[in-house]
Amino acid sequence: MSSSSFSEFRRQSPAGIVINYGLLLYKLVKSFWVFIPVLFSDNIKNKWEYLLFVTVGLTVLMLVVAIVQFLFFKFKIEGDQFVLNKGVVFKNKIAIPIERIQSVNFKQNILHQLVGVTQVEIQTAGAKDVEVSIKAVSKLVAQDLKSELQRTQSNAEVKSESEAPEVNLIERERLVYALSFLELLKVSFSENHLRSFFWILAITFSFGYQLEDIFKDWNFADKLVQFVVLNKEEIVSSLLGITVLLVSGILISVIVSFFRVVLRHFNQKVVYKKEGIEVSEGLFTRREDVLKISKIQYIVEVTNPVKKAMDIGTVKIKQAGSAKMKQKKLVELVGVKLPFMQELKSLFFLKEVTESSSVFRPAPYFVFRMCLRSFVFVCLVNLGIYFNAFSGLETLLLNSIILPLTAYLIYLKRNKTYFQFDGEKLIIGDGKISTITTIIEFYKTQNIQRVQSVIQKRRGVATIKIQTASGVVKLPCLHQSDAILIQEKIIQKVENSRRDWI
Amino acid sequence: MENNTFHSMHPNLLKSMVLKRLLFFLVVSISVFVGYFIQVQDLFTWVILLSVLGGFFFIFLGLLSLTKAHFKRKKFKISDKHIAYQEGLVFQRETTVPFTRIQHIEIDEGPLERYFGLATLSIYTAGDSGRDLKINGLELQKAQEIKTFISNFMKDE
Repeated sequence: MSSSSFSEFRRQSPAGIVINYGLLLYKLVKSFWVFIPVLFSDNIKNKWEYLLFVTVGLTVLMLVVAIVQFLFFKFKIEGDQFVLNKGVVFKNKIAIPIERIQSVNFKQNILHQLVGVTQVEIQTAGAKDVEVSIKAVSKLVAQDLKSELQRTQSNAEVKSESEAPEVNLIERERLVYALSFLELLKVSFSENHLRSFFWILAITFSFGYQLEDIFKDWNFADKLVQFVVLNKEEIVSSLLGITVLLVSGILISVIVSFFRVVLRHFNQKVVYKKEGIEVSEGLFTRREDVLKISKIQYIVEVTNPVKKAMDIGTVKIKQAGSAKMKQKKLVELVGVKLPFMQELKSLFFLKEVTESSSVFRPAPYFVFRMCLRSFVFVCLVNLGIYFNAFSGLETLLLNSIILPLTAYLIYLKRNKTYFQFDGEKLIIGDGKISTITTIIEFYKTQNIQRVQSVIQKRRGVATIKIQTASGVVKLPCLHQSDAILIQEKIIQKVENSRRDWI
Repeated sequence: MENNTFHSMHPNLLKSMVLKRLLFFLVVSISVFVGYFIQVQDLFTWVILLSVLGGFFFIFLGLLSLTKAHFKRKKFKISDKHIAYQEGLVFQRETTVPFTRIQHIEIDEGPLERYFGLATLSIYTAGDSGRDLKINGLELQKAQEIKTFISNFMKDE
């Protein structure tokens, strides 16, 4: 690898034309898909001639655009800046100081995989910074570019950093975890099906008639929906019907979560590298993210009884990033075994002698608020039941399921919610059936907000919102005195901490 | 400059807030008026229209009386290491930004603000944009003072 390979302006791999073309096609279809059915109606004269004409015209036009985009897309490394020129009509020149680059990630969707190129995404942090993505370069060039950027960056860091960085370092590169297909199945099986099930149920009941219209052209679906709509009362009133509805609903939600999990997390791998933890995953679109340990803002652990029984859990890792990239900055390790979870935690957070640990719990108002919200929910459900013409007995039956369930969920949530200060860490417990634990090193707080409505003020209750470089963490419904205490503690920590938040 | 109490905003802010609401009301009612003037000619509709506008005006007066309370809720505090701002009538918020986390500071003057000699101080951190601190109704001079104070702090770091 010669350092001069990026000192001159260079273009992407010629396969970039294909990628550009694919992207244009995708955009076109995405914005005009509504008109596609028009093509299949018989009302237009000389339809096929028009169609051919438009298709050929569009194809040529998009090809020209793709080629021009490719020709005008150039990048290089100039001193300590990464420079990118693109655009014909709107010329766009971007220069990013390399020291501000947060991470360089690779991404391959199915088209990239077919033509054998990689997309390189360069991310920076801060309010007004830009994200850059180079659509298509060969894997080799991508890796060269990445190491070149990192080399320049580490040179700069050596100059500026006098004190030793206070983060855990990874000594040697190794694969630490790979998700097998079986484990992937386990993960999708143990997802939160109840939520998707309720959604499916609500949609079928409220949009049943509309669905009938939408699926008019689909013979099978039409018959199914028609059957459900026409025989709704019989279906619901028979015990068998309810069971079938329940089982099929749960089956559908399992299938839905299965596809979601497999698409996103297929062949998930974690590799320890010198610069951080590399996570790669995905079936059609393969992503490769590098988590720098110092840039992790907080982590969220999720388990539930099913996951616990199968000895797996989910770890969500939130990294610093600009607002635009928020969603993508979330790295989710699914199917993590307990020992590995411990290992991750000890890697992310410094070992410390815990000198102080204090636990706060939400005020009774928290339960009151949940009851109020559930009451509204139950009323809505009953309204739905009323409009779907159930009999009195059925209403009673449904309510005798919903009410205790809601009460139980509130009870669970109340018991699982806590806020614990443990040395440098703030641990936040949450969850109903699942258990959600957020761990944040609270000196990384960007700013902190104490919010209370007039009613909450009268009851001496306040909510704390901790703003990090990767989203908000909320501590709901604290006693006002606790809230002020926590607020002061965090501010003091941030002011006096010498450690960098990034 | 550094003391640990919350300060109220400059009294001119109240004037500017009232004026802003008045202007808003005027713009809305005039556009409604003009819109109807083009279409409607008979007297009866005029009577209804005027009474509706009159009703609006009373609602507006009610809202205007809240402006003072709203104004009184706005307070800021500058300690030697952080800046804090309180606002909100129904949802009362207190936002604190430690100086060490500030990315950059901006001072803006709108036309109305300039008339009253006021300025808006915006403070940006690496958190979600829009949730950062935005203090309007500082005297321009005061805003500049605060900006230099924080900038000096950031330089020393």
